[in-house]
Amino acid sequence: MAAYLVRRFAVSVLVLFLVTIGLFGLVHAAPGDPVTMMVPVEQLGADSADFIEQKRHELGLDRPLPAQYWSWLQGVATGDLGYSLTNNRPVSELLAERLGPTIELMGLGLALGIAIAIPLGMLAAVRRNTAVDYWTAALSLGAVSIPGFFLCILAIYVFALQLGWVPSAGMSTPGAPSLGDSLHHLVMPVAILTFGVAGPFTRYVRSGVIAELGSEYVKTAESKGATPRRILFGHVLRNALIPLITILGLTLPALLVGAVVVEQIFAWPGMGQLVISAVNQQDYPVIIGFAFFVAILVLLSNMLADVLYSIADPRVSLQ
Amino acid sequence: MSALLEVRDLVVEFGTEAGTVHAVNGVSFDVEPGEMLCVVGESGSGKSVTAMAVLGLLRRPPARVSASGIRFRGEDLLAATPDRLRALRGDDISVIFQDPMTALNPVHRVGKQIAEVVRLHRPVTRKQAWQRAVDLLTLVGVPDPDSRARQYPHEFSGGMRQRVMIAMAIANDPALLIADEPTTALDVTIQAQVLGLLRKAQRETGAATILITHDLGVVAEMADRVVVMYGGAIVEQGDVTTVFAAPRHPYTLGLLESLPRLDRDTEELTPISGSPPNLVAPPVGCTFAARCPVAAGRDRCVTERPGLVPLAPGHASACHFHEELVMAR
Repeated sequence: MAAYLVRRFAVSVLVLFLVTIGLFGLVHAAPGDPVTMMVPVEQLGADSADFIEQKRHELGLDRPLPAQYWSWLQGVATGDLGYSLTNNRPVSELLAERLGPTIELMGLGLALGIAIAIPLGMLAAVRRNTAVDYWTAALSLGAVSIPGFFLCILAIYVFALQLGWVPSAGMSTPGAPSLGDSLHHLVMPVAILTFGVAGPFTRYVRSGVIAELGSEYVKTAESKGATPRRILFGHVLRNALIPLITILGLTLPALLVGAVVVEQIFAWPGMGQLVISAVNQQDYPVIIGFAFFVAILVLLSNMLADVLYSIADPRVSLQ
Repeated sequence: MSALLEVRDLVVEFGTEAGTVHAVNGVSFDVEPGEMLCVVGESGSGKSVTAMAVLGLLRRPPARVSASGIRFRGEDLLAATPDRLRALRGDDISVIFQDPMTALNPVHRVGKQIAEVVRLHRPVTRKQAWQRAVDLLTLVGVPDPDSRARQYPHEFSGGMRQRVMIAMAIANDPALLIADEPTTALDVTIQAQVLGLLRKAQRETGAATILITHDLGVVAEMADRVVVMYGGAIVEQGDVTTVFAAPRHPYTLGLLESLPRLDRDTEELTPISGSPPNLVAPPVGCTFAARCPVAAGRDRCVTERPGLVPLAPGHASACHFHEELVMAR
């Protein structure tokens, strides 16, 4: 396995390198200019061209793209992702301070979503073609097909505006931070992310369990005199969950991107918000830094999925 | 002394979209303690379904099972609670399935899967059950059982996996062992080993064995008695020497004739022409009439379903014209 991981790591680094080239090219190819964005519209005039030119020179944006890329790459090698064009703070520092809230939101959403999906999917599979199954199907299809932003707005309207049960935005009430208050702010965004995760995963668990229930080893277990409960938990569950590892590895980065929307709507000070404003300002280093981070996450979670797969399924060995 | 297993008028139907499949139509037979009973017939003749119905392992629905009695040691299995059936399965009655490649759980160690059946029925510790699993692997001839018990099914060959299945089946010294085509999925060279092992298992446990097969060679090799099934019903039964020497049903005769033989110098095999009956809409008369050389246009064969008629003690045939077959061979 060690040899496999080393090889896989080497390939990942190569892929990451290629991704950065694409990233750099695409971000800089986008129309608009970050320096022009800095100048308020009403002050744009004949003399601002000189100012913009000078500023571009200061920031190194007038250099050829390969040269800019090269210095960025040199920075990355030493852990320096550059500085934000809008507030001159290090990109790594900006990402780091936004990472916590995002992980809190995503992690909770993912964990709760799966914690709901597994028992619910199993229940739907065991009671298939009954009312329980149909309701589960309706709920999970709803979760898959209703866009997250719509749910967010709906939830804010109902639970924050009309009922006033939960706050509509932010991580805490300014001036009165407490654990209870933080949890209170967490409820709605986490619930929506949970719903979004639980929906598809319930379907995966259900179909996995149904497929495994029809397999021959289940008949063997029955012939041994095992109870349905034992067959389900002792034999079927693990076999049914193995394919979920792959899906989980693919979902993890997608969830981060999906959280961008939820964070924006709930004014959650996570990476999503940071990126949205960076895109609006054409803040190249921050956009690239974030995309770079997502690329690393994708590669890491794929690698992690492979390792977990080999642990969960004895038939798979990494060589 | 009553039989170990008595099956009376077993009927199994499956509700499907194409209509009701009459898989088993009124099958009755006995299994005596310690005997080797072979059930032989082609695919779809109802032999496996009969065995699964006895164990209560058919999913209902789609299956519908009825009988005037399925009695194991006098106990009515049809009326037994699911708990009671579970207590019997794997303990007093156990099964060996056809395909050892899929019958074992791929994510559990082989030893654990054998130990499971011990722990389900005996008040033993995890460690004792594991030791029993290792002993059983030794018994069924798996080399190096200590380390093999810690391996997973995919690390075993087909023949070795079938040995594991046999170990599992005999773990609790069953009184009845049902082997459902245990050698069909195996290489020919391995088949003989597994059959030998089944015989050994039967000797060790004294279990009566129902061996389901479509292979007459296996029947000749193994059986004390044979039940021949066709189209969901028994067409002939009797002790194996009688049935092989003087079959009294045209289907049995056809099966025997279709075997390639070394002592006859013919270029071609003698198949039974035609195909098995449609069990969604079974014929009114004899299910074999359409393929039967004896029936050949006789009205009675297509209008009246023949019942199983005793010919001699322990030998019965379901053919209107069984007398005509006496001199046939």
